[in-house]
Amino acid sequence: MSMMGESFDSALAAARLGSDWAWRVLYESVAPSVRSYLSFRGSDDPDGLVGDVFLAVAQGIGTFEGGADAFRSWVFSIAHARLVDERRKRARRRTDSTDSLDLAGIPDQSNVEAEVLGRFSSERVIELFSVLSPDQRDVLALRIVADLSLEETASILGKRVGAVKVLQHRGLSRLRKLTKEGVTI
Amino acid sequence: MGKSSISDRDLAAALAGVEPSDADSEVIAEFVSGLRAEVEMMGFPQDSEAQILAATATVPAVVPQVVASPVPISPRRLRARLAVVMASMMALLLATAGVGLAADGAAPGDPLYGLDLAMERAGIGNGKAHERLAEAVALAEAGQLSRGLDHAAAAVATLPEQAQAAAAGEALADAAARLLEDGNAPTGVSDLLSRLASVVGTGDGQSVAEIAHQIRDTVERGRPQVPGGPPTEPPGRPDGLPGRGPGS
Repeated sequence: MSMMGESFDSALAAARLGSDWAWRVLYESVAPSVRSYLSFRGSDDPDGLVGDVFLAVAQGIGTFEGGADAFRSWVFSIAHARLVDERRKRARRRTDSTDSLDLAGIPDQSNVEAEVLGRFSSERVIELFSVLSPDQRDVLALRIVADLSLEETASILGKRVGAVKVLQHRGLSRLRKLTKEGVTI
Repeated sequence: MGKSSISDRDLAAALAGVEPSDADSEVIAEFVSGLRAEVEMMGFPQDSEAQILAATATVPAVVPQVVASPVPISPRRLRARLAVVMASMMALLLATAGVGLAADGAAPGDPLYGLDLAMERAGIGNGKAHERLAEAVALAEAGQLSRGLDHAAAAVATLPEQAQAAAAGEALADAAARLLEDGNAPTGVSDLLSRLASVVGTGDGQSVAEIAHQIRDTVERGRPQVPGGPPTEPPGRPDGLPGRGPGS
């Protein structure tokens, strides 16, 4: 999953010394997918949160240990925590639950293109994702969108790997069932 | 093998792009494919990503593609951020030297712009109006003059010289709106914007207001004349301030 491979170690070492190019490499390696994740999960301000995430990364880079995959997992754990903070603040600001599907800001997309490529239409993906429980959405978003392993997902969500597996299984089973039955949500 | 592991195997195969072997795994593969296509559009603009890839040298090449609205920061939010930064100032100063250099100067639409704003919110990097004006100039130089003027309008409106700042912001916003409406860019506006950037932050509110009005007047003079349309208001007003055209 690493975009940097062997160059990660040297980029990390240089970033700790404050190297400009190294920070750009680290940022480029994960920021786009972090931004996608935050946006897909309904962040009000994905660009601002990405900035906050990397500010935290800058603060913690001196004590971070691990390779490129661990770095990616660490950055996503910060991103997820910031997203949860944002949701709490949003919930305090308003009482409606329209954000519960985490789907704000998802743009339309051509269904014809989706059919040609052999995948669900944009609306269908959103429909299916929206019927999952919040925990199931967390797990599948981190697994599919953030491209994290079961172990990394469990660590970020503060759950045991077994619990994450169960959530994943239930979520996927529900998707299969709805698809087989052709249920329109 | 339990059901959980079967689902996990299907998902792992789908994530790895393995061809589905049965109807069940096909559903998962299609969902993964559809979901990834959905979020693909939510990252930074591809052109901007390419710029980052190309810019691993020390000089950031900033060519903005899409304008992102600057995020208003409440004093409470700012204080909270500053507290965090103060708590680990020593580590931060060392580690952020590079990330600050990489992000500082990023313009709206640049992938690093959010980071630039975050650094400023935390009190790192210069920020404030003169940096916003530099971003406005970068937008103008990238051929997005209307957006640059809009960005400049928001920046000058925050200057401490309140009355002049408000007038300057209004003039620039007018100019941006007219440019957007007309689609043409009169010569000289970019130069005036650069001049504005050079005086912002010097405390010379009078010059800021004057240049902002010159920008609006230049845009106004460059407007296409519509036969039979309403007559253009001549420059100059009884109050002595530079004139404002129709639609003000």
